[in-house]
Amino acid sequence: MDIFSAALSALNLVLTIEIFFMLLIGICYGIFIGLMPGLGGIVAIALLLPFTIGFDITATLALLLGAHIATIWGGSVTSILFNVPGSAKSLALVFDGHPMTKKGEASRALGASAMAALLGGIIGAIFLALSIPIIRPVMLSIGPSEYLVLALWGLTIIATFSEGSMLKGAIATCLGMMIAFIGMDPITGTPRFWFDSIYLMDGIYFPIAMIGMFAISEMIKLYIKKGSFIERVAGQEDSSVLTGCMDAFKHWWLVIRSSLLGLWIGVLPGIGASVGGIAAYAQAVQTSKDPDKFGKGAVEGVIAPDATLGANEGGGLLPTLAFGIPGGESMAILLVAFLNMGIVPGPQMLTTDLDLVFVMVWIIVFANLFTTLLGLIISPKLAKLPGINPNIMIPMVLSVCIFGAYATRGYFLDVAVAFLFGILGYYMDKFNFSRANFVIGMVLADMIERNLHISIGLDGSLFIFNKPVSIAMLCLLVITTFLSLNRKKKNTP
Amino acid sequence: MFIGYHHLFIIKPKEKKYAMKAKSNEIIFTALVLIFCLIYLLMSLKLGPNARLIPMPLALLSLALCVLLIINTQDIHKEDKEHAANGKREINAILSLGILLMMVGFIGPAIGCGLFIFLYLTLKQRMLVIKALSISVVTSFMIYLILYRFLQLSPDFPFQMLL
Repeated sequence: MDIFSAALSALNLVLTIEIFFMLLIGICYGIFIGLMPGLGGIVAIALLLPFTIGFDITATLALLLGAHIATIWGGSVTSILFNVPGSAKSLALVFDGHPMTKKGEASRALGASAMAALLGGIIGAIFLALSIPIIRPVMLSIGPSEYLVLALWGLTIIATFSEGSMLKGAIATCLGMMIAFIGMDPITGTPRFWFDSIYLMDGIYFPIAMIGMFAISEMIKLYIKKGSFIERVAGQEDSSVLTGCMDAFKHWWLVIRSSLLGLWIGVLPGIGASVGGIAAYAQAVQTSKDPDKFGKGAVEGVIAPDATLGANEGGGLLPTLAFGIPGGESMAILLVAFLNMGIVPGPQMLTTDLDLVFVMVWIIVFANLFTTLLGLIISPKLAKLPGINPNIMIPMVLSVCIFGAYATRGYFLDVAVAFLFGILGYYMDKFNFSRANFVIGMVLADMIERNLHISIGLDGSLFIFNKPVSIAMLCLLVITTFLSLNRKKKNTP
Repeated sequence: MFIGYHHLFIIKPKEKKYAMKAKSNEIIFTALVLIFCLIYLLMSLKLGPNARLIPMPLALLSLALCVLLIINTQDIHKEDKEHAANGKREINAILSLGILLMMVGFIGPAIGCGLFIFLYLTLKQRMLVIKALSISVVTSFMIYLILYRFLQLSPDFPFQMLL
């Protein structure tokens, strides 16, 4: 079956009232779950798994993918409005999304976020369809040493985030990595830094640390300064959802770049969308003419991660379907759902069952479209939430944090750990130790350690010099880091 | 040489006091991080060579960076006096978090959060009892509905047995 006729027959299957109805149910459910901190696409799909057995495949795919895509935007909303990343994927949105809310530009940020996610989703889906023939050889040429260099490149963006002291930025990154190493070593199976506690043997659960580091610490700050989230004088709000939508179109080149990045990060198994969001943010900063405005409410800092996250889903589907290798955690759950529905992953998905792949591509396109439409409708109402009286806001958000900490595993200790991270996050912010660096270190630590061990095991200590792709990537890393540091040095008065 | 320190000559004595306090607070924070790194380093020495391949050099690097930072910490400018003067409110905030944590540990997340919201709004913010009660009941109900019914979790609250 050729690509064009497969795309047309898939569109024919999707364009029915039943499918659209299921898609809308999935989207409404997904936005609701996404707005709950700690609950992301994984929980959303896991709860829908019982509905995947014995139903029409296309309708079930619409329900699942609709829910999954909508959770991403839901997660972005909480990052932008409350500095609470709905899930690990939405982490990069807090860097500039929340400062925009503080400046009274919540509507603009939400509009830009929704439109960037839509454009990213569509660009990702189109490029996914076009790149099916070339993706297989590229996927097979990327090995652990390349993943290691990619992760190291992620760490180099500390140069971007370390406003003021680079030393403090480096300490924050190291601290994040050290915290990530608590628990079972994935390679040797040795428990590390666990103080004989079974809870610590599992490691510090990432969403719990984020709830504390950003949301609880923000509440402590709010309590101390006795103000609201929004720093502007009441009545000066002049942003609108439409302005945000226009921003996404105005930065079309950034949207395309971020979408392609998201697509490829999705295609490469094991990287995960949380790294994708951060990588997108980093490339937005590194390619900006005015990098200093980032972290202070730059709309590009919202557009880039959201476009990446939008495109990432399409990319993640490809290895999941073609090789049965999930691109990330949520794709792993989707894979279970596919198996429940009788969809067997394998190379035949890119040949004889290509129409099924295109059904998913179309569903992703429509799911992005409807999520954005719904998002744009509800954004003006959502944007008013951070302006609520802080006296009510503090206990309410703290309750949501407790709920979020419990919702992941139901452990009381998760709540206690979230509170500890809240206090740590507050003091880090107070003394200008970048919290962003801390979480970047935490996210990338596992990827660095795992791939370092595998690379040494496969190619010895000098593994990096055995592969031309790794060497090229390493050179690129050194050049971009040097340029970034040089620019920072020049801009420092 | 004078360029780096000129602000010390123009700030008022009270502001200078705040600056000194903020500086010492920052050093204390960095020292705590340094102690954490030291413990981490000592613990990593007990691990096997593969398990400590990254943690040990990382701890060493962090230790060195903390020492460098303590040596290089400069006086904090007068804009930071607000931070320095907020010590009492910081203690209050951390105590409030502790109280909330205890409540959740004793009576569970649904009732614990509701009770905390009610007490915070009535005692701290002097809100009308009826209004505070309705906000807390709705929040408790929502948490109960989502955690217990929708997600079907059974959250643990370990201090329950002490009651």
